[in-house]
Amino acid sequence: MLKLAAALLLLVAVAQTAPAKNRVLVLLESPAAKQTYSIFLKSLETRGYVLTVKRAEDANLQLFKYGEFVYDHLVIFAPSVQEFGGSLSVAEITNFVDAGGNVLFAGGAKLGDAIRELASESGYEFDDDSTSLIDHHNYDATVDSGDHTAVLVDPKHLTKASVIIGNKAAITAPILYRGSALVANPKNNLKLDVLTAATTSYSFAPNKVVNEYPSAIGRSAVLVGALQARNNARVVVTGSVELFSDAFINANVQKVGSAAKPVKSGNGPFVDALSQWAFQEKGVLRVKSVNHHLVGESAPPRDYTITEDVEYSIEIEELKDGKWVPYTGKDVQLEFVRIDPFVRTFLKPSNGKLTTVFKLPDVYGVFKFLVDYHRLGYSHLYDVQQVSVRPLLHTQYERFIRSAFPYYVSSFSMMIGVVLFSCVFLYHKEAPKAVSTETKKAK
Amino acid sequence: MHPQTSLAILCLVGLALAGQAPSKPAPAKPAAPAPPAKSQLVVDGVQFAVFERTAKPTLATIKGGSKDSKVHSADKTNKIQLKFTVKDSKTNAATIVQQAFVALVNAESEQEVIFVAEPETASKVYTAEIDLKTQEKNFDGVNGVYQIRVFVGDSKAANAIDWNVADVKLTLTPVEKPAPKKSQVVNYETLPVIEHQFREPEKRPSQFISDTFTVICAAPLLLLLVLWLSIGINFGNLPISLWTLAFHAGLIAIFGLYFTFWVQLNMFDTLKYLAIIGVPTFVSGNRLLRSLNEARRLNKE
Repeated sequence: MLKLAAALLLLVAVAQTAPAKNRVLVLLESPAAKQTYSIFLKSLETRGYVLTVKRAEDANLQLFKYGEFVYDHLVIFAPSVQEFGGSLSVAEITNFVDAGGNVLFAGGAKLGDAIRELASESGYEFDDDSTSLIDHHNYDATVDSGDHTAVLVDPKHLTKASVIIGNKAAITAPILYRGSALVANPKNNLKLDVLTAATTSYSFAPNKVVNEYPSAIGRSAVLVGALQARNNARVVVTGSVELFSDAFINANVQKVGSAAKPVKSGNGPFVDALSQWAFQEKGVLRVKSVNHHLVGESAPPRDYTITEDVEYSIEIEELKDGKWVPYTGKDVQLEFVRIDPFVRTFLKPSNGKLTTVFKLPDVYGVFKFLVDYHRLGYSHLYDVQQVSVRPLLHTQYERFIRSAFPYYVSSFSMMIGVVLFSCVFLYHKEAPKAVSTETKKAK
Repeated sequence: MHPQTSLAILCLVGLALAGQAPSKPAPAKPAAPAPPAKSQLVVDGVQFAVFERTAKPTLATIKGGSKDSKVHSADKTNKIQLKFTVKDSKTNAATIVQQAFVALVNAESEQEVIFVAEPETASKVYTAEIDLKTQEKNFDGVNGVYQIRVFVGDSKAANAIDWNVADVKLTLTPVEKPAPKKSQVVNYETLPVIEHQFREPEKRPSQFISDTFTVICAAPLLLLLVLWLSIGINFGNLPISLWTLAFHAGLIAIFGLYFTFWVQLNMFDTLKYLAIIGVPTFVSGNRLLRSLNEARRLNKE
């Protein structure tokens, strides 16, 4: 009896818990590769993700089942795969991103068609096959195999957005990179270059003399690129799958020709911060509530009147360590728009809310309170509240205008005149005119 | 079997130890031949010129390790030519290397444009000729002082060279970027603050003028009273009846209502009161006129 009750309770509990977004599908080239990325995968598991590790060509792969997500995030560490297995394909992965899923995938020196196509869907083009990123000025002494492809990238080439790379001070050591380089598609407006190469780097076939202009050269060669889609899904592309490998995370790096002591590479904190951003643990914002009313009141009126003082407040929350906390950004702007913005002010934080007070313009019409917050690395926030602003009532104009007193006085004097005239006209008795007829008769 | 196997093992170990190169410890590799000692590269014979496109260059030699002290100026009518040779420091022979780039890096904005230097087949002298007329578009119209740096590197070399040979101040034609469509714009920055400009109230005449005209407008009423008194008026025909009182009271009340409307009421209340006062006023006015007419008819007969 007790067992039955316990089973029922468990069933209820399971039914009640909403599925948290923590199912990750990890695609590798072979099952043995799991050992190569054990540190990275372990760190994902400690953060609460449920990992499913499969081969990229597995025939049972699927991202959607009966129209619902089977996985929330996708990690592909299989650079040489030509075609994905099962129902997976580049089109399916694109649909996955369109539906809100996040993808993190990496290429390498040997690149397959599937990864190449996937990268071009995300706004980055891989360089030609069998090319690698080469830097004769910044390569590691120990890891490099002689062709200067194990490149050490200085952290100063990271993006400025601290949301994507975590606290910049945490990554002080150079990042070890070996693989091919990406070139950003200039037409893509939503891309974010997370890590670019140094000026002295270039992407070409190793050990060959450069006899034609390399497509990725200097700082235009992107090493880690990201894309935040308009539905806030995130895609991270990189040309080096070894960036995530245990060997690189644990490597002690020392630049050839530098006198500095070997330090542990910056790969560990970098890939941690990168995966946190990619899987929407950081940089996610949402609107909790929006309020607008006249100064001094608390509820919004049916409609506003021109030139009234209005107070607007919005509560924006940010996801930090799994909890929603009030957002403390200082650059959130409010626009008061009727086709074009009439007023644009900054919102100031005040006890958890972002508020502002302003005077409505002296133009009437249908306006909207618009908060359009789009910052590098953060999700896009767009909130619209529509209100009507009516012109002044006939009693809200000035009643007594000094310059109009002549008009007032003339009106009232006319009224007084009418009253007096009506009395005089009605009741005036003419004197009789008998004298004139008598004089006429006498003549 | 046992001594033969141990002898074989000893031989293999000996071979492995002999095969190991002293410079690079590679225990995982089998007995590989020692990799060739890496050469030291040196860039020599640097000749640099900024000259008119139509003219011939007068090349100036720049000594090794130093920078040309003069900051040259160039614009789209100039060409920049840089010649150099890469030599092995030991044999002093000119070599072809894998990377021989000439980069123009903006000192402030860190924008860079990189060119590949081509070697001549016979003399192996690297030349980079930058024709600013054709290459101007790569600079995006950013003027300023650009550092000209030579990057030389090779996987077989022990060192790589990054040498700032000269600085050049570029003046470029400004680039007109076509404005992108509003729906395509992705903006990560704050937009400028807009404060609404309220309409200025119209100018009003001075108070003296208004007051003067107020007095002028009040004058006709006074004039009316004065003239009436001078020509003589009487209220002889005044009938003593209720309708007279009601009518005149109503008329005064209507005008009083207008005055009150001006001072404090709104249109709707005024219309309401007007309806209430107006009906009895109309009725009594009608009765009053009828009685006056009756009196006149009676007088005539």
